[in-house]
Amino acid sequence: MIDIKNLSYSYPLSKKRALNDINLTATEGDLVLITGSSGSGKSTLLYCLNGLIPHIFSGSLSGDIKVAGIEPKTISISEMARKAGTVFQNPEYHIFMPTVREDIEFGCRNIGLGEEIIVSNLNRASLDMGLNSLLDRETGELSAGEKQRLAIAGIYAVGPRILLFDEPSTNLDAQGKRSFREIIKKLKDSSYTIVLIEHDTDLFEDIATCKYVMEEGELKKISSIEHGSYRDKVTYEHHHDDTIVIEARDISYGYDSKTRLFNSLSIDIKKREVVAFVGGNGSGKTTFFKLIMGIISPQKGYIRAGGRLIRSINDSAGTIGLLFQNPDEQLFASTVKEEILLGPQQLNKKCDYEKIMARFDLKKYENSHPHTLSKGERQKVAFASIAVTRPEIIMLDEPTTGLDEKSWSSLMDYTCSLVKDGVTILFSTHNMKVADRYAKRIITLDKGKAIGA
Amino acid sequence: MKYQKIDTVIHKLNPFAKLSYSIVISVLVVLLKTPSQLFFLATVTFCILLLARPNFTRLKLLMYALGMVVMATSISQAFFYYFEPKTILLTVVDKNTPVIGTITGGIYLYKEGIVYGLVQSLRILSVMFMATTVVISTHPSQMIMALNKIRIPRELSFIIATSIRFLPHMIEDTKRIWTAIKLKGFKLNNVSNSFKAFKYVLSPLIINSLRQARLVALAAEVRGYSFSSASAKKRNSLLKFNTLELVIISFFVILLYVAILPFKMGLSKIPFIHAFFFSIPFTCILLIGIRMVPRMGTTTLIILGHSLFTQVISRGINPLWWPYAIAETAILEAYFAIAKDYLKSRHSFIIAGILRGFVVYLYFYFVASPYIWHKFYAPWYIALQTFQGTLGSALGGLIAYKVSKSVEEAYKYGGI
Repeated sequence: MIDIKNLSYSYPLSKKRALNDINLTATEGDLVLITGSSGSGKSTLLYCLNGLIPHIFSGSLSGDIKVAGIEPKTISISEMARKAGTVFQNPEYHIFMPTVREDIEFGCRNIGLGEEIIVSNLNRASLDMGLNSLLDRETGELSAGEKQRLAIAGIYAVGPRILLFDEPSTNLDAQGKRSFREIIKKLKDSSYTIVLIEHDTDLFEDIATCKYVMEEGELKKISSIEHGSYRDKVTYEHHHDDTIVIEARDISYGYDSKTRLFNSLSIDIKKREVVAFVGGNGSGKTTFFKLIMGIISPQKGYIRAGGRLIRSINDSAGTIGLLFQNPDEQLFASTVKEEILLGPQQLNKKCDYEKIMARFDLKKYENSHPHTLSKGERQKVAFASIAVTRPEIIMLDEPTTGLDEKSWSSLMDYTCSLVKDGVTILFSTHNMKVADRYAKRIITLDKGKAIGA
Repeated sequence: MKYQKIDTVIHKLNPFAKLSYSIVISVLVVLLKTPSQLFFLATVTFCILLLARPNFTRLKLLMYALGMVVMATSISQAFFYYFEPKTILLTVVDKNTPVIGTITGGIYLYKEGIVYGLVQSLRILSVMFMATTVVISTHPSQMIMALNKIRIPRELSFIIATSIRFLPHMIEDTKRIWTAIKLKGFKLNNVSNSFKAFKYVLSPLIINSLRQARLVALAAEVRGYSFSSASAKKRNSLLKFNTLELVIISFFVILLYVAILPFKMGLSKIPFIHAFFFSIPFTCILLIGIRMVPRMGTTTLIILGHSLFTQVISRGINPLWWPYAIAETAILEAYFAIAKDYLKSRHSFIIAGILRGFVVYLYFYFVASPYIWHKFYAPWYIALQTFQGTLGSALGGLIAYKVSKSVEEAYKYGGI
């Protein structure tokens, strides 16, 4: 079904080869698992398989590529979609129509299938993806897992025998990941050919027929996936004191009067603690962080942090630093230097600019535009711009999402090194490996309760 | 106002019928003249609104907003009433006062003006009742289907549909970025700080939008929805935009809507300098959008797209708003075509800003206001409003220049 020989590609205006001499074959019922660090060329390979290269991305392409017996460059992208369907990382971007039914039909209509075929494909896709009871629901109201299944259903309904997935489990919680794994297994068993790019390889390792790692544009076949060097739980020299830095008392919060996300929740966090917040999508991890920051206010109860009663953002700015799940949303300036100095200027705080640049190894990017750096580096700049204001508490919202293990370990290592300076750290994550390795305490949020608080 | 999911006679009507209803009311608003005709029109549209069973809290809000409109109209017309005879109720500035009196010819409050204002505000009331009826009873996607039936260009309907789809997403992103700037320690308690914060916020907002636009465009392509493919190129269209360009344009349509949200929520109550504040974010985002897709047709798609999009989701399809968009589009497209320059330099940003501000406000005071709404203003007031609207637009152009330089740098070095 897939036959690639000596494929090389470089993007326009780039001298570096994004793909270098790739060879890959796959037949019916194969599940090809590809891993590798961010920016190594995994997505580029998918673009070659679905025809985005060369139809959308020009650049220089050489070698042979056949997908379902056809060279992608000879037919249009929409014709290619009937042979090989692609599901990208964020299902949000895949959904175009207001209801589930219309969205599944969307792709079928675009490629010009007849009404009868559309109806039967819709039924098959919604049944196989477990969406048959949700057909009339509005797409905006779906949960993360349902959106993911809808994204797959929309591609699947068109009828390709090859399915390509680009980091599909990134936005899913543990339960979502398990049900996604079941879908993949079912597809494989119905002899679909699947190419799966994934950071979280544990999930699929046992059902994969072959495994590859992408390194700097080179695809290497491997027999088993190396899990980095296994690292023990981080040990901290400094134990936490008895001073309570965050005191959340009898917090009740709900988005509307009917549903309560939290009902008299109380959590105390001591100075120098490192606390991981875990729990499924919608369990309220991000909401809890927003409450601590004063971005939203509880309907009942109060929060004290860093010795202050938190009523609005003004009470927490400077005392608590928050690293967003998407750090790009907190990079404002046009150079890294300006970015780092912005917070101290606004908060009238002194800062040791040189020290922070050295500590985060950012001196070489001083005059670069923060948005031109790689994702891991952008996160580092965002983090440094928070650390430079010397907050007493640092919170990280899903810091590992979309990053490979090397990138997130380096972020977590320097975050947790701040404990010795007396900083208290809170982070939320889906990834139990991160929680186990770095947290002194794990709090599980579930149905409005905090287990471990 | 937003769509309400309930079941009424009005909800069951064909969207096409509702589109026709909007057009009929718009025409009547322009044609009807006497107080009794206008009163009749307002009563009928209000009764039809009640048939669509508006939610009580929303109705209360609407009534409050309408109360403000009626008050503002009657007060402004009380000052600017120019028919005879007229009785002076109150003298604010005597015409013999040095300087101000000479410029303004005196500012007086006329009794007949109040009555005139009350009668004329019935036009606005009728339009608002009609618009609310249509918006709360028609799902946006139904309205798009109706628009497709009257054969609006496929590009425009794609832009409106994409904008509706990604609006909630973009509102969330915008809120988070505003939170992030506040966390940096920005206090938005004075004008200069707010400006600075606005400038900083635009950069991540636009860079993120462009990144997302790329992903959305790729997803559209792999789902077979393409403006780039060979079959699409054969279509008889002057515009020939590719999918990515259209998604970028859609995102700017949403950003324009998001930028004016604060004005709907209370800032519009700032008397006199409203035109100035309103023009800055609007012009700024519009011009950055044009800079990102620098070619003929972009201006048209962003402005018409924005106009139709806001009508579909909140104002009701209404031909009375179209001439604004057309005037603005015409002047900017003409400027870009003649200057052969799609915002390459600072001065073209400022000229474009000045042109749009000037044309939009002149259109309002010399065409829309006297001929549609039958409201009149003194020359000094028109000059003052047009001046500050134009000034705000020029300033918006300047900010747009600075931000787009930063965004393009990110673009050039592979950040997007």
